[in-house]
Order: sequence, then C-alpha cells, then structure tokens
Amino acid sequence: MAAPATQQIKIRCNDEKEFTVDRDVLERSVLIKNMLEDVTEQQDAPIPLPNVSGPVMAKVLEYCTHHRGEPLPSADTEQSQDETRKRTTDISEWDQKFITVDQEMLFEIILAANYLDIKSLLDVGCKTVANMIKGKTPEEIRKLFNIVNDFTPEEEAQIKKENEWAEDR
Amino acid sequence: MLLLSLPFDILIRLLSIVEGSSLLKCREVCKTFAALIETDIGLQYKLELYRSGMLNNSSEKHAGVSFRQRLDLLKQLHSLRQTWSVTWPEGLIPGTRSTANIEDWSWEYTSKILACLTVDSEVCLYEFFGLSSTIPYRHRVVHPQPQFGLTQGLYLDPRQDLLIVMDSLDNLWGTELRVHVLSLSDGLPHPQANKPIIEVHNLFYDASGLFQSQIYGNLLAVGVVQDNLPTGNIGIINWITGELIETIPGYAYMFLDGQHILLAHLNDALSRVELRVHVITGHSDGSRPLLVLPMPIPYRDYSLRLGIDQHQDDALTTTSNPTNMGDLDTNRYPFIANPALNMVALSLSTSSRGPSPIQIICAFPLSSILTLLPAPDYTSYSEAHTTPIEIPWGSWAQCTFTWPTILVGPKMCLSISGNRIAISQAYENEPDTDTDNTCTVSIYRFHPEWFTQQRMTPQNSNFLGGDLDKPSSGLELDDVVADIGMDMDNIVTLPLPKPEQVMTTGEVRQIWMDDDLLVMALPEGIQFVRA
Repeated sequence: MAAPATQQIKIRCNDEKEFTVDRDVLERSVLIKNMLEDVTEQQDAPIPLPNVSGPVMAKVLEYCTHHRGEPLPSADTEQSQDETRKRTTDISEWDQKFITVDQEMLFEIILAANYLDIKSLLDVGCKTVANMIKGKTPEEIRKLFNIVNDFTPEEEAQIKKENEWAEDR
Repeated sequence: MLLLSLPFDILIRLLSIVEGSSLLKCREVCKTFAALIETDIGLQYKLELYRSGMLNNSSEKHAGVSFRQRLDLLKQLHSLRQTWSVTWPEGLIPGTRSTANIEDWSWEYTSKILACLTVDSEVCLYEFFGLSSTIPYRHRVVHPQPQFGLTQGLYLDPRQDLLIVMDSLDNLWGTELRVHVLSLSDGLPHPQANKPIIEVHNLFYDASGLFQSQIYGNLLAVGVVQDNLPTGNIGIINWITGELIETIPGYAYMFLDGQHILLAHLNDALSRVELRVHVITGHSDGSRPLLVLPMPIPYRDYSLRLGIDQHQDDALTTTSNPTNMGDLDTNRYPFIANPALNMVALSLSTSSRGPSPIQIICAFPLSSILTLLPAPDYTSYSEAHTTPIEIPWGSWAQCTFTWPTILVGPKMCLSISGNRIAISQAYENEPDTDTDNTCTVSIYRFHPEWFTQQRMTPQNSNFLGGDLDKPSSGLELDDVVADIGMDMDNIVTLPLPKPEQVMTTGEVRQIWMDDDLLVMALPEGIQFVRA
C-alpha cells in the first residue's frame, strides 16, 4: 500500500520477452497484485509469467493501461457484476476496437485474462465470442470455430427433437 | 489455438452469457458443448428458464402460452429423458462376445455418475456426465502394479478419492487376500495409504468367493461369501495404516458405521438366523456380539436353503445333500442398509428348485435396532460384552414382507433409497426354451404407517409362503414357533404392498437406486431409469 504510484515492476513472459510497467497498471491483474503484496522487499528480478507470451502480454498491457485507475471489482460487487454480465453482451467502443483481433489472439487473450485474473478483460473476451455465436445455426458455429461435428446422426436427431420442444412454438 | 482448447470453466463462463436460443444451438454443435450444457447446473437452470419462456429473449415467442402450458412443455421435455442406456464401448469386451461378464460393480452418484466394474478381471471406471443419452461418457481401465489377480471386489468412495480393489492370489491355499488402495482419480496408489497393497492372510477359508465390502471413513470391512460354504471371518481393516484391526466370525455383513457392524449370522447350535451387532473397538476380540437379534426363520430342515441362488446346478445338489445346512447367500447383496435413511432390508430365500421356493423380505427401520443398544461403556469394555443381549424379533422388527415366489430360479438384487426399495427378480426359463431370460424390477414404497403395529394371527399370515404349496419337508409354522420359542403375537407380517413401479427388462446383474434414479447393469450395458 505504501509503495509509490510510480514504482516500476519488471515481468518476464514465457518467450523471455520482458516488460517494465507501472505498478498500478499491473495491479489490474489480481494475480500479480496478490504476488506483489506477498513480497515485502523490493526485488529486482522480474516476475515470471510462464503462461503468457510476449505478444499477448503486450495486448493485455494495452488494455490495462487504458483502464488504469478504474476501481477493481471487489468481492462485494461480484453479485451485481454478474447480473450485468448476464443481462447484456454490450461492449464499450474502445474495448470493441481493442478486441478486434483474429480468433487465435482472442482466445489467447481470454486465456491470459483468466490466468492473470483480470475479470473485466475476461468478460470482454467472452462477450465477444458470445456475440460471434449469436443468431448462428449450429453448422455456422462449427464452421466459424473450426469444430468437428462428432455426433452420430441418431444423437443429432435426438438433440434436435429435444430442442424443438423449446423452439418455434 | 481453437475455441475448444480453452479450459472447461472458461467455456462454461462463455456459454453462460450466450442467449437462450443460441445456447440450444450450441448444444447441437458438438459433444463437448452438449456435455457442458447438460452438466453445468447454471447452464441447466438457464436453459430451463428459457424453455419455460421465463427468460427475456424467449418471452415474446411464448406470449400466447399460459403458465400451465409452459409447465406441460417442461413435463414433456423431462419425459424425453426418462430412460436411457449405454452400451459397453467397443474394445472393452475381448473376443467375439457381445456381452460383458460383470463380476462386480460399485456406484456413486455425485455431480456426475461414477461406475466402477470389473469385466473379465479388468477394472473399468466409467464417468457419466449428466443424464441423457446424448452425453458421452469417459471410461478408463485401471492398471495397477503389480497386476490384479483374480479380481473379486470393488468399492469406490469419491469423497475420499478412494478406489478399493480386492483380489485373491491364486496360490496353493487360496486364502490370500490383497486389498489395493488406489486413488479414484488416477488409479495410482492412494496418497494417504501407508501400504498401497494390504495383504491379509488366513482371514477366509477360501478367498475365491464373492467379496462383500463396505467403507466407513478409514475402516474397510471385508467378507467373502463362497457358494454354499461358510468362509470364515469378516476383517475390519484400517486402509490408511494398512492394519487388520479386527476379525469377526460371520458370513456377511450388512452395515458398518464408526462403531458398529451388523451381521447376518447362521447360528448352527440353535438352527436359526440371527442379526448380530458387534462393536468395533480395534483392540478387542470382536467375536462377541453386543446384541443378538434372532430372526423367525429356522434352517433346521435340510431342504430349506437360505439365500438367493445364483448357480442353479448347485441348488440342485444342495437340496439333495443333507449335510449342507443351508447358506445365507449374499451373492446378490441380500443385505442392504442405508444408514443415513434409516432403512434395512434383508432377503432370504429357500432353495430355488426345492419343494417350495420362498423368499422373505424383511424391512425395518435401523433405529429400531440401534436404539436397543446399551450405552457404550468404554472403561470396562471386556466385562460389558461377555454376555450379548438377546432381543426377540417382534420387539425390533416391526415389519416383514414375504415374497412367495413360484417361479423357477429366482435371482434377486435389492437396493434401498429413502423409504423405497427396488427389487429385481430374474426368472430363468427352462433350459430347452430359446427365449432370453427376463427380469422384473419392482419398486415398492414403504409407508410410515406400515411400521406401526398390525397384529396378524398365524392363520391369516402368509409367513413362510402363505398360500403356496407347503414345503415337502413338512416345515410348518408351528414348528417354527416351537423351534425358536418365539411369541407369534409379536410377529407382524404384512401382505406385500402394490409396487409403485414395475419394469421388465433383460437379465439384470446389479441394481442401484438413488433418490430419483435407478441404475441397472445388464450384460449389454447400463440402463438408467428415472424412478
């Protein structure tokens, strides 16, 4: 808490790429925030992040820098946050522009946000995928995400039959 | 990187923000999505809400649909999921056979269903996700080091990540028992167990029979039932330390808790069947029962066979062999107790091809026994238990049902859940007929009122067979009374209640019932029924 706002923290990704970032930017990640709180003495060695690659981290840092200073979602607001998340798949204009990347990068960002525990970024990623699924047929969804249809014709017919009870009434 | 390579928890998070109609579409995309949607409680709830028209983006569609109609819709949907079955996966059964030889199995139903069974001495573990025919299931074979011998018994306890596999080594004496203590999740030795394999010597006369086992915490009770032969002792093993802490002579146990073990016992000296309650102390001679509860079922007569026949040929020889005193056969788990739900059922049958096949089911609340136990006195244990307390039948078992069966070759499995009891009876057709063997599974519900006293006289009771032909051995109810010296006024025998649900299916090897699910192991696969 007593650490000055200008404190610089070094991190190292799994491809040896290193970043030096302001502490408050990095603390968007609950994982890193907790790590830093556990360490009492100043350390020069970079924090290793074995699950994130350099290009993905650069993207994540871009997000964190833009959203620095915003209040972190605490445990108390979790409930209401969840409600909002369920109700809407709206994404702010900046986030939308930020997340306009190829699928490969999108999933990497989601994975990194999950690992680093950056809830708002994870939400943005998941909402983006949800929007991609919206209004599509099963076949279109498979094509979009390169998913193989592994049902037998009988299984597929059974699921279709079950779904019909709920649809088109 | 592909969407499906994301971890399941992220995929669930993702699916939980997809709108209702898209969620249904996702279910049709692939098995992974279908499995996730059908197993995650949150997604299930969302789907149900959507289906019932209570979620935003479907309410317009359902604008003209009344609440009642929506409920009907839900009912129809559920009815589609009433019954389903899975067949054994290819490659599981070696050779050209199309059915599995199920040797033993064990079930648990947590967030997913776990089934464990031995097929041709291989231990296969199944995990079923969700309750639908469209759901894939995982199966894997547990390969221990060293190899399993003749695999005989299984027990699984997901709460302790515990899988117990018992086998007997094929040695000269046939009395070696090995207990493999494995971790359920990976099939490797359980991290908490001091010994991955517990070897027990001279517990049984013959360890090639069928194992009975039950676990309570770190206690494992093992008994072996050998066809027609008493097999010695029940061992109580602490599977964490690997020690055999107590040996109790008996045939089969039915219920173990931290302090007690309930046994079915044939008392040769008195020619009667007894239920016995022993106290587990871990340092004593466990052979002295604390409580003896005689059952009103004598086996004085040679032709009366107690138990449920599995092997027809043996049954024939049994009846012709006067030296065989009868057997409380637990091949089909005639003893089932559900301590949490306070119900005990016990089934006994006479010889299947004897003069009068009779099956008796006793069902009674467990508390009626345990409340009879004297308060434990741990300071002077040895003196306190030198003389067991004997309590007459009528004062603890308030309810008995008799199953007079007139069909040839009954095989029976029991399972209890709550106040319901599921009973499967298989009828083998005469050897010359080509028709397959069938099995009837009936579910009965015990009403609390049935446990209140209803007195019946011997004349109108169907105790020991009722209207059926009397056993040719001349076994009469009066003999029974004289034999045991029991007071018939205290015996309550009720006519069999009407079953709540009856189904006919193929040859059932094992059944297992939970609150709303009946699981049956058939040679062809597993069948699930909403019950």
